[in-house]
Amino acid sequence: MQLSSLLLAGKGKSLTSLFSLLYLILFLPACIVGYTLTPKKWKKYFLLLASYGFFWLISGELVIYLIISTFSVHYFGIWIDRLSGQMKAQLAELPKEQRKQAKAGFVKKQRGVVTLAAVLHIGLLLVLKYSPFFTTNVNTLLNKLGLSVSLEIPKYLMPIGISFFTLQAVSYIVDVYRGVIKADGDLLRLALFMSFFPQIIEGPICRYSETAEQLWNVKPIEYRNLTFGLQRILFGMLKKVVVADRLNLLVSAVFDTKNNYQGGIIAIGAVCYTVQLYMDFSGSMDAVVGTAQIFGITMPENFKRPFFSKTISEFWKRWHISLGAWFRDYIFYPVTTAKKMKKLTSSARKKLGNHYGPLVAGSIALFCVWFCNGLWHGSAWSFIFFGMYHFALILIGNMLEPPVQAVNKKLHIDPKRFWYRLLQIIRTCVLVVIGELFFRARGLRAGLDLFKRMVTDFSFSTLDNRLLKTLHADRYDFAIVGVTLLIIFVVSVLNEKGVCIRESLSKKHVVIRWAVLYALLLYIIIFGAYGLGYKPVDPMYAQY
Amino acid sequence: MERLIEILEDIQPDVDYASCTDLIDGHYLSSLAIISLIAELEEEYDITVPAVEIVPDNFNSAERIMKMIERLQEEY
Amino acid sequence: MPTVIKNALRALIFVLGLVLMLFLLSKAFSPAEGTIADGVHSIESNGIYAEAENSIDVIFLGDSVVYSGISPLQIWSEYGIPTYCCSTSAQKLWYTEDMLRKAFSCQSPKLVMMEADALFSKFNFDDSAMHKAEGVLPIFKYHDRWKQLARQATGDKSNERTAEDYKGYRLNFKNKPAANTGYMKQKLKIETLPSRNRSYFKKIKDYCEEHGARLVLFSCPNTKHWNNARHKEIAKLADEYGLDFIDLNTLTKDVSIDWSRDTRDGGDHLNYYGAAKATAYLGKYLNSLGSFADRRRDPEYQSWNDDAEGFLEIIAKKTK
Repeated sequence: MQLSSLLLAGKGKSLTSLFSLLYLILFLPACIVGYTLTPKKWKKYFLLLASYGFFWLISGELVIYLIISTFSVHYFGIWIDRLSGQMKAQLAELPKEQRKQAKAGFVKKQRGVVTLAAVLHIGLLLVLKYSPFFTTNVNTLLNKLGLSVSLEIPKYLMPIGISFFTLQAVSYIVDVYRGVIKADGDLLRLALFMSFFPQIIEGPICRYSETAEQLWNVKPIEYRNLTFGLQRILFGMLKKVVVADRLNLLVSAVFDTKNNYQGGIIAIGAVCYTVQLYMDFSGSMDAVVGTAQIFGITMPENFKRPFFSKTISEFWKRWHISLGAWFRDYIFYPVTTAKKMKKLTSSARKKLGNHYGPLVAGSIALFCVWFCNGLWHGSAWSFIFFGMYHFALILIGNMLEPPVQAVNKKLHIDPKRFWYRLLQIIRTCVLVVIGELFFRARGLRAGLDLFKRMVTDFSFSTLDNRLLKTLHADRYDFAIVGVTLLIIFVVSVLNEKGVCIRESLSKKHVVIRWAVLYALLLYIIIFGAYGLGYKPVDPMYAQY
Repeated sequence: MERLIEILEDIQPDVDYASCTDLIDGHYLSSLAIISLIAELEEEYDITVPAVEIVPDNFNSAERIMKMIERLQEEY
Repeated sequence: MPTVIKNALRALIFVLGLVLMLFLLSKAFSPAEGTIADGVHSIESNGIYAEAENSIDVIFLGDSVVYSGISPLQIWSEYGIPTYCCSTSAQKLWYTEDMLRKAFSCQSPKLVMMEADALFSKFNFDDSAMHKAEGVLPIFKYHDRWKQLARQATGDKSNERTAEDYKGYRLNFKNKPAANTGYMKQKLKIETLPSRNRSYFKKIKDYCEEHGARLVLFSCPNTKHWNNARHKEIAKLADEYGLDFIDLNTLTKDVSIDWSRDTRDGGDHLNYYGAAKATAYLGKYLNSLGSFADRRRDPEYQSWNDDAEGFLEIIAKKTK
């Protein structure tokens, strides 16, 4: 991950996360007050202004990329819509027999426009994000071939959040083409959809149909939304400041130093990193959703208790949901429903049967998805490996499904039994942790090295107080992380059962309500890992 | 309708397609089954199912699938 | 009463309640002032409280490069000048100022040697806001003492830290060579002191003046954070205020750091071997000023002789 953080424009600035004090005690309150004071008609413009202000604070003049992207999707959308209009008008005049042919001509044209738009947007992202990676590899290749030429490695400043708003831009264009939405004639409405400030750093990746209207038809702030939103932010803070930041020194000791730790210690590091990543990312999402709720906007959720997943493919439906959904809708289904793929599926099904038949086309599509997914996370081989790792796991899972079912039937094992599901969950978590080990390692070689040591030297014999000191952790750190995770676990289970804690809390007596909130606040203030001696995590997904 | 249920049973047996209304949301049809189903439907009914139509709402029951087929047939 | 006002009032009471609780907690969490335990960050940073009153002649201020690169006991064994490293890792300038005040509360050094690396350490809105909050409600500063309180409550002595007393120096023998040895010749950056840092520096300078101490700027060898541009910027600053500036990075003849051997982490911090060279030069410099007496025979400083002896023994053992 460090590789891709080279060119962060926001470095050294205050406003790097939704948990920075600048955001929490200055920006957000100022927005709430300003928003309330602005007349109803102008509130949406206030939000737009605040969003651009926010982007300016984190990315400075790189805001130009966001502006260009917004203009571009606006006009591309209108272009595609206009083609649809022309098509309808012409088709209505033609006799039925000729319609099909005429339509094909228009669709071809529209496809051309969509492709052009996608190439431009994704191309910009590719150039900004991947050209150093690309040229480095070309240079290595040239060297291997014995040529002593080397290309200059370009350096670009990449605006924070470009990986997110580019995906939003592409989904907007494709949705207009597919007829899911109409092109937005109002540039400013589209601009707000693209730039809404809580989501610009780390997502979620929203669809136009999900948020654009909500953002434009904003309501005044309601007391209930305000308190619920703030409580949600507070809960996110608990995850981020108490757990994620507390584990940071340990994680960085295992992954960033050359201390050759024992396999068991590496395993602890990998588990801690997975916990840290989840707490950091989902905590940030709590802040995003909470902030949006203050303004009465419902954002899509990005996490659904992923560590309760029974399979890897289920995990990816519960972890970073908006990214998985994007890849499903804009890569997986288009690839599998391409004409040639459908033919492949039909013929393969006849030869290979119901399960393995569609798997052929499905696997090709999955490969595309996971290659893009890996690359999206960063421009390094380790991320491509990460994508391929999950691709392989899902593929193997699919291949093994029929034999496993057969074995279960023979042995009379009921896959719905509790212990069976528990084993599945544990297996999935172990596989995820191994994946995150490669994800966090500084490069593929380092990852393979760590993995090798973890497997060949799996022991905890060196674990003592002195070793813990080099990891910057003591038993109290582990205790507080454990207790906090337990709290979060209980909240998750209650959520899973459909209990809205904030809802039930709001019905309680004021004394209980305040006691709970005070307890949470003081817990964060006392047990938070901040101040001298701690190093907060950089928002991990911000660099994508 | 009967033909459709035949196709469905061929792809994924052991589901009561006549009454089930949460084929997707209840995880009766996997994404692989959907891929097969679409290929079969296109052949059988001479339609094209674009990616945009692949939403749970269109596949949750045999009835919904039939509705989608009819709609796509009408389109030119 | 309209609901808006009612809600606003309620929120106000809630916040006041919170502040009150934080105030009470601050009382519970703050250690007695002027004690070693007051050093939240590390025991070493408050070790100066353990020294006899007004016994230190020179203090070294700065971040981790200071406690890694300067060994007061070496200066003592060569010249008999009592010095102390008041340094913590990643020290921000206001913390430098705090350390300075701490030092002067029990000592009256005649010379303050300030390392320049911390002058470039940026702090943003969050840092300043937190620092202000710490001033009003010390719980924000001492919150991490819950570990100590928990230890006291459970009678746990497993992790009590005993500072090995090298007068603020932290002995380290690790070695990881530096790659970037041409760091003083790079010509890419322009470095300017952030204006907030400049005003903190002025405060520190004024404080020294008021307490009759001379301020000298210096810079430890460092391939990672130091460069020619920084050298120029600090030289300008020193010039502006008429201060001495000793840049050990440019004095390659007198302080010949072997970057393959003398650093513990690839050029950021010196290890013992590098520290010995840097300290030798600074000791010579202090001695050349002629304003410090050799106190090795002073009966009040006998503990220093014992400490130095212990230190040299360990060095002899480790470097054998």
